[in-house]
Amino acid sequence: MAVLIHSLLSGLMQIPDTCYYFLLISALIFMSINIQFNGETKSLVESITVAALLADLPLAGKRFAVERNGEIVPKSQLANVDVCDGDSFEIVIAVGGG
Amino acid sequence: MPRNTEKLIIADKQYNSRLLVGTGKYRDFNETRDAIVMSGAEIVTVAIRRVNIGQNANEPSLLEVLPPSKFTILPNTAGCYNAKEAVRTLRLARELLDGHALVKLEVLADDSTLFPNMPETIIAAKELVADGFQVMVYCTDDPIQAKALEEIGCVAVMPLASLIGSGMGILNPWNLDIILDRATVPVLVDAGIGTASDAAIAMELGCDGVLMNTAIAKAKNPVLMASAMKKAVEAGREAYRAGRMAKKIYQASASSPSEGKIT
Repeated sequence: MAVLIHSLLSGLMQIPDTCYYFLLISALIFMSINIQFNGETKSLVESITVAALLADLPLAGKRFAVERNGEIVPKSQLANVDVCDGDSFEIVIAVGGG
Repeated sequence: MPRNTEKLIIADKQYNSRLLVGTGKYRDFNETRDAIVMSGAEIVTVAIRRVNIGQNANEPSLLEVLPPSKFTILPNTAGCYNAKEAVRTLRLARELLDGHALVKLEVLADDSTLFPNMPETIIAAKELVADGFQVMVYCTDDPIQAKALEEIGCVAVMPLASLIGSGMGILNPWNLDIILDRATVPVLVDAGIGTASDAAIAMELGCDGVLMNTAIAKAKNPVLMASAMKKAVEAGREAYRAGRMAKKIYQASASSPSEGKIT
């Protein structure tokens, strides 16, 4: 649905196809940002960075890795990448295994 | 191939211990650490899983108990059933371990046997090697498949001795023998070891190392079994290097002199 509205608007108004404008339009029409987060649906009311998304997790001082839409987000980029509607995240750690 | 190097060498790195251990199935992290330290293993496998969102932030993580500064952490793809999942998992592992390239590839075919899925393993191995990973690969004890994995560029081949977690020991030493005869990369037995003698037999056959998890973790006393496995791997290796006597099936040979017996 969000993708449909976005493509209609960007088609009509010639808005560049970037995440920033997508989020702006979404906010204007009072839509929340819906993402998949380790397999669960999560709604955000405002645009945040990936680093902010992870702030509540028990990860301080621990090793973890983040994948967004199937691509690794390097640790150095976590604070620079914004969460977009429809994103899918996997956050993993090392656990005991054979 | 003669396998008489003093130390285990994988991807140009030398290791003192030929015993590699998994970190699953232990009661708690204390037991994990105590058993692994006792085993003398330098390479330890870990699994990659979603972070538990409800977890207590103060609880230690596995890599705090077994720090990468002290152990070579070998992330594996246990639980992956196709090449895509396995490659994805190891890319996450590489990010998690700051670019660490040595990994264990394990693509499963079936959740009751956990037998290797060789077509998917081959696909994943090609992709990982092309992406710069150093791949140690869990495989069937099929000499043709093991050689194919070596030719793809895997740094070690790891045929199963018997089913993962079964403790059934080495079911086909003859196949392992053919793999060992042909391989030019290290061959490690992975999966199926049940007790110390199984590990010793693997090493006596000439394997470069043994990887095990359940045999230690599910022993009644895991720390004591870790100690036994360490000794078994060392003893088996020494016996291999010493060169065993020839078997004489139908003819005994007395150990004591036949001359000078009292009459």
